[in-house]
Amino acid sequence: MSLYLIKGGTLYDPKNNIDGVQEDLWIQDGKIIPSPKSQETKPDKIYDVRSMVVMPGGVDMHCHIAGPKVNTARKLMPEDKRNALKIERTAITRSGTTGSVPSTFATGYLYAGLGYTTAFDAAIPPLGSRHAHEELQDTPIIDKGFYVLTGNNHYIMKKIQSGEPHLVKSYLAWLLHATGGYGVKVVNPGGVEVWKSTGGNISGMDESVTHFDVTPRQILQAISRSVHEMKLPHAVHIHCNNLGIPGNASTTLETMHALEGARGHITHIQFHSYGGHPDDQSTFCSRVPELADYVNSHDNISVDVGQVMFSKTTSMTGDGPLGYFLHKVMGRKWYSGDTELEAGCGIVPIEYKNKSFVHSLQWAIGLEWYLLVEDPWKIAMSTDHPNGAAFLAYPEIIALLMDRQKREEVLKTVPQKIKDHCTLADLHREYSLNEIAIITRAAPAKILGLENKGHLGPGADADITIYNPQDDLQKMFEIPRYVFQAGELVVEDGEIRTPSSGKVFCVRPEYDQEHLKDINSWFDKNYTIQFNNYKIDDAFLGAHEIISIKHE
Amino acid sequence: MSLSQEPIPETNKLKVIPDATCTHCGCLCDDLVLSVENNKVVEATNSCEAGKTYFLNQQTQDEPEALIEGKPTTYPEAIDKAVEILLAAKNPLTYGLSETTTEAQRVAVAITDWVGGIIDTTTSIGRGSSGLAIQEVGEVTCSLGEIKNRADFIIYWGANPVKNQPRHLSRYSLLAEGEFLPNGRKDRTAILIDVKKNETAKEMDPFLKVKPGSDFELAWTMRALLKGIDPDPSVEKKTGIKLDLIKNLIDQMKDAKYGAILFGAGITHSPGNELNRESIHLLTRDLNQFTRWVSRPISSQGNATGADNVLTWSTGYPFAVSMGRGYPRFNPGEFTAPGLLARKEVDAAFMISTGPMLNFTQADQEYLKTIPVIELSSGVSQFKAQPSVSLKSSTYGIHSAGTVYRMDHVSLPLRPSLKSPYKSEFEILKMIEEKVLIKTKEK
Repeated sequence: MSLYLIKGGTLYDPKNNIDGVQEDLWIQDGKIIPSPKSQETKPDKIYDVRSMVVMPGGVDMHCHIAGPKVNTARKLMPEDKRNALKIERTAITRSGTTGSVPSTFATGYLYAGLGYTTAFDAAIPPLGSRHAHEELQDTPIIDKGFYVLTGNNHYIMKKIQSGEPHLVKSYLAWLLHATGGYGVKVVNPGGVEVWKSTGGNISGMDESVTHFDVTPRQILQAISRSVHEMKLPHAVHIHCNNLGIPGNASTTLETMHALEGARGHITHIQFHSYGGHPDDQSTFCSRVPELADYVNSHDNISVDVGQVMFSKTTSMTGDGPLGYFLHKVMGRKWYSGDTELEAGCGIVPIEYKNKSFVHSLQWAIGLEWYLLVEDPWKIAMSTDHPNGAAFLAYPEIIALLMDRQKREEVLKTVPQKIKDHCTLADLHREYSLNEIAIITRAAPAKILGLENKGHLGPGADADITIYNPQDDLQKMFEIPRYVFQAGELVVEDGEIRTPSSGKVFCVRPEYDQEHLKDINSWFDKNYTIQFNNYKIDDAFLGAHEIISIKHE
Repeated sequence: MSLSQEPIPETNKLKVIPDATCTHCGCLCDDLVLSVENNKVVEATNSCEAGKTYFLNQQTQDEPEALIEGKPTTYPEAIDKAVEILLAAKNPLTYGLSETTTEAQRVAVAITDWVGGIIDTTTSIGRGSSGLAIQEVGEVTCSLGEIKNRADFIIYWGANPVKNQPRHLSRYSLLAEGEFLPNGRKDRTAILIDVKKNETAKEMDPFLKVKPGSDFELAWTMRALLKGIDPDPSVEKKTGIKLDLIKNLIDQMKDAKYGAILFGAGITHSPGNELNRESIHLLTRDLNQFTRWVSRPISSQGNATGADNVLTWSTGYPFAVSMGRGYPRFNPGEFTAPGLLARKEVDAAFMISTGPMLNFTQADQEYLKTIPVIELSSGVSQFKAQPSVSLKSSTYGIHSAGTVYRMDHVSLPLRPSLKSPYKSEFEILKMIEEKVLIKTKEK
């Protein structure tokens, strides 16, 4: 395969401690290789990128881009698309629609266009996993994967109840095999089951789940322990109870405590960092400082933000009762979907307005997180696409983090009383390019346990994004000069050059095959499809990479 | 795109294929056990009668693989001609897609995209209204397994599953033993609302006879009662149902733990269908202020749900999509096949696995005789005039692998049992797509 030289760029490769150093990069067979020792080696092509900024390809570790929920959102919202950016067909690329939930082909092209080369869907219901893979196959260029929803699964709750943690672990391992998933997701543990059974929700970690004598705390602990014991590359991915409710910071703190030192990733933490009383909006406030203190002093916790930006978007969640709550707040159309193999789904259109006290505070709380977590390796950039905003907002967020002035300008446009309800106005920190490279690539790759992503050392996947430095930081990050994915030039100045297909990441933890009988008989008794038709085989997955589990 | 398929047995000896999926109706039962001998299905266990007939009567066909203007030819020749037609057309229509795999549907969308045509599916009438109701008000729904495990109150509305979806009751709803309803039927209340006492009525607790064309008024009356509003007494005459009976029904519905409204063709294929469906969605939504309720359609053909999903993920819209301007636009009415043909707005038609084209008017059919038609199908031709190009395919689920979507949007794999001399729709469409791409590059 061709040998490429990317010559003379200024590298930001935090994993390899390279912070703004001019260096050459050599690519062969989709990988970054050491610089050839012989001066005679002639590359097939040289990209002269002197004076340009070179980073690893971006990694989005939490977004919603595939599967039944996302597709229903597309269908639900034609009004979102008609006047939005159009993706026109070219000789080599498919057409598509955008709005807050782009079509699959558009999703792949837009991520690549932003310099993102890897993205993970954060909430696939186990029943929808085959559907999710079909969509991912039609999502070009980027590498991808998904986390499987488990926090309200009946088999898991039954086995917690009966004191059989080994079966919880085997079930999770089997589920990852069967679905071709990458990680284990917990959404509002127990709360979705209470919604299905009663129309209510759960509000405390020690409340009992209807039909099952277990608590959210027990569910979280059993799953996080199993994930830890299986040595999965990514820790349990947690959407805490009480999302969006004033005062929920206490639940979030309790969730972190409940992990008892085991690794855990708390996702879209912005939505879980609120003080105040649920019944009195005027008391709504930020509790980021105390939560960030906890993260700063505990190495077992990582977070992504779920930044809110002022725009029209679509709220979509595996948290069924949250969907109903948002529907009551918004009063607009609402989709709810309960599925066997137990997951939920709520979809509601939403508009975040800078005139709204609550929305402005949510925006500020997200930024507080970026600015108050001291070690950027613990925090990943996300908008929880499309919940807080579409992923297309990333360049604007980067500009807000690197430029305090820009934050102050926005602060002037929002209700001034938010300044008394959060610390944003007092935060002077400005991100460096190196820190941006950490929170948008190196840290998410590390948190995901993907050793070949998020860096530019030999052996890494040759996913490289090259920017032309500009005074306008947002513009700089919006249209990279070049994007390489797996060693191929996929984007040049915003135009797709190679519509490659990317691959899917899976994990296959070992488990006791004897336990399969119990899982099989539970499945046969309670679900409506055949056990043998549930499992997705390798031929169906298409291009995939199984990330090996390290048993050191 | 990948197709996983276990090799179909070469021998003539008896072979048993478990976990086979039946595409005969939208139930997509995937628990059939097929016995195959001499390239024939000799037994289909677990199947309903209709499914059994479907599998056992598969004939080995002896027709040419392709025709051009009625004359036998080969796939490559016919594909060249089809590509020529598609590329010469200014505004070609792709239509059908309900009787084929998701994989084939994906390629059909791709071809339409490359040639800048219009794509519409069999959902555009009937179930298409579903799309509109969802876009207006959303939907509160669930997978079939949730009905099995939770639904202690089921209303079949304008539906006749005993006749049309025979295993729906035993696998997914009324008769199924569920996780929280261990006694199956005994743990559930069931009501049929329909214009006549159909075959399903005998399985019900009460049967409510509603006057034809008054489903909307009935649903709206129920919504009013839920909100504590006294409906106008004229609704009794309009719907043919006493108000006390409706009040009593609403009280019972509020007492359910998890209710499900399963509606059929009586709602989705009657005049004003999108408003009917919207009224049921709103009724369901309102009921959630009291207890849990869900609703979902019960009737769908073959893989129409797959077409719905494929179009949505690749274009953003479920049906009636024009790519004529180089990007997808959605406009039911303007871009739905029946009207487009009657208005003579397309100049070629690519008809793929359409099934019986019951929605097409005389005017549509007449216009189809005047433009080049490419027909790709495993069954008998649906056209009065000879299509310009006929491509014969093997039958999905019988001969060819792939996935199909159940009525509740669950993707399931097919396990083909028989060999066919014909290529699958996916294979033929792939050949067409490749040729289209080569030809457009030459241009």
